[in-house]
Amino acid sequence: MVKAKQKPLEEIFALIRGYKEKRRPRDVLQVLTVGCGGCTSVCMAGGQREVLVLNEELTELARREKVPLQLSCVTVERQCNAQFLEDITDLVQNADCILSGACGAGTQNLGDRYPTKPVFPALDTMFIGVDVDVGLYEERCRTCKRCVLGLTGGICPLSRCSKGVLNGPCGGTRSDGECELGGGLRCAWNAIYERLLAQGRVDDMMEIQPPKEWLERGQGVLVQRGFEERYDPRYDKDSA
Amino acid sequence: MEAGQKGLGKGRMNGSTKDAITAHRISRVLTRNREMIQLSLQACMHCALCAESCFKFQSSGGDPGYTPSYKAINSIGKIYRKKGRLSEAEYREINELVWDRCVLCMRCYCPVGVSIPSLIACARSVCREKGVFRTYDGERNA
Amino acid sequence: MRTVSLIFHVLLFLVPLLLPAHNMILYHSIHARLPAMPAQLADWLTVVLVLLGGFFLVRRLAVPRVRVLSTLYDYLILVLVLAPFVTGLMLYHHVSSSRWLMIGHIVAGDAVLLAIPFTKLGHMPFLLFSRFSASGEYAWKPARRAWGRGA
Repeated sequence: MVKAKQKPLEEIFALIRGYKEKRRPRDVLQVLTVGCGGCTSVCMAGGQREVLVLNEELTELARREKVPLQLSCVTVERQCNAQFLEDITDLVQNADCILSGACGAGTQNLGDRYPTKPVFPALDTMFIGVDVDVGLYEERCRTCKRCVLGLTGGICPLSRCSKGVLNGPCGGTRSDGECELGGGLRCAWNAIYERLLAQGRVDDMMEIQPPKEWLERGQGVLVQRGFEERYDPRYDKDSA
Repeated sequence: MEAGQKGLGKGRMNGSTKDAITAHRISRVLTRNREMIQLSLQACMHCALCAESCFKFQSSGGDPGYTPSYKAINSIGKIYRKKGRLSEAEYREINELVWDRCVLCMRCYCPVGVSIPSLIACARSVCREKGVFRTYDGERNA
Repeated sequence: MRTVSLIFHVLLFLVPLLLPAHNMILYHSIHARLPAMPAQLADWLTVVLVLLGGFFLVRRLAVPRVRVLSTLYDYLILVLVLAPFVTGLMLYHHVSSSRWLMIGHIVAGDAVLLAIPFTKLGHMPFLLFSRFSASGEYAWKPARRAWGRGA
């Protein structure tokens, strides 16, 4: 899932305070913090509990800095799906600005749905990753749109190799399997080799992968298989 | 609530104010969604055709307690009928229904057009107002 | 289930509308009628319909995921829907010469029609609207969620 981390409290406070001083210098600023029950709940960055605590911390900080803020809170199941954002129209109406505990996608969706209210992100979205343990997450995917896991034994060279090399090790693998960059990083290509060896398919490594298409293509759009006709009037399934 | 009552009135007021706020917030969720909930509960034909479209149902081996309509009727249905005034034990049961037995994948299909995910999300919203929600650090929050 | 339901619903409308007995009464009152099917055929179709209704009852009792949802109301509604057909069969076969059987048949038929807007029988007219406006289901094709082979 998407993994995110809460921004430093001072940074969040500065965003809100900056807005208040520019636009509402005399009022008590009404801030609605919207938590997300999806990915950011799982990685414990912006779920219901986290936004409740964040509100308490912000209230305390605001009191110390003598900035009149009134913070309220609600958590929706997912901010990346517009259906769940309909539930809070009355709360948003009463707020001056919104603080979002979702990832970048959810925060933007919130902003799109309520364009007249400033939306501030409470989190920095980090990566698509796995839960290694409670509170510990590792990146696993860079969404390169051309997955090669079938040929690398299920280990992604882009996200797990320090240099992101696509065709075999760089030559800097240490004898204990560590990356020459140090810091306890494992050489992904060594891991790939060992995995493929164990599965009896080392030859798969020999297939040369072309460079990834990193050209700026603008916003990504995905139409899932089976839904082509619904979203593309020109779609011709016989020719596809 | 107990700690509040031991106090000299201030604690007690905090406890009951908190309860009042919770009740108000739950009432807000139910009022906002009243028509949807009422219509959905009435329109549900108890046909159980939604079960076939629920992958939690399929992977449980056909456990009837995983039928989407069952989950909806026994969570938001109960909450709505009793206007949110349920016991802790009832909320724990509902907690299990809407958090453990449903992932809100939104794939459940109803031939009559009832939006089951909306009902489950509503039930979850009420649970959230009661401070009951899923946590991911191994601590049970219900 | 889907096939049974389709046949059941088709017969539910077809049989009372095309029954010769009903059409005779209609003709007597407004001098117009619908085409009538042979009485023998109507008899067999009614038997089929009642049996299919029995299937629904058995399904509601035997299939756990349906049983867990079922209330007294669901059973009563099924009985109510089948009542005009069962009494109709009894009348056709002259099971009893009592007037009350005829009265019961008429009352049952009227009760079903009256109950439509107030009970879940409302799915009869409303399904047409809700089925085709429920998001994602604007289609005639069976809206089966493809969870993958064997799911």
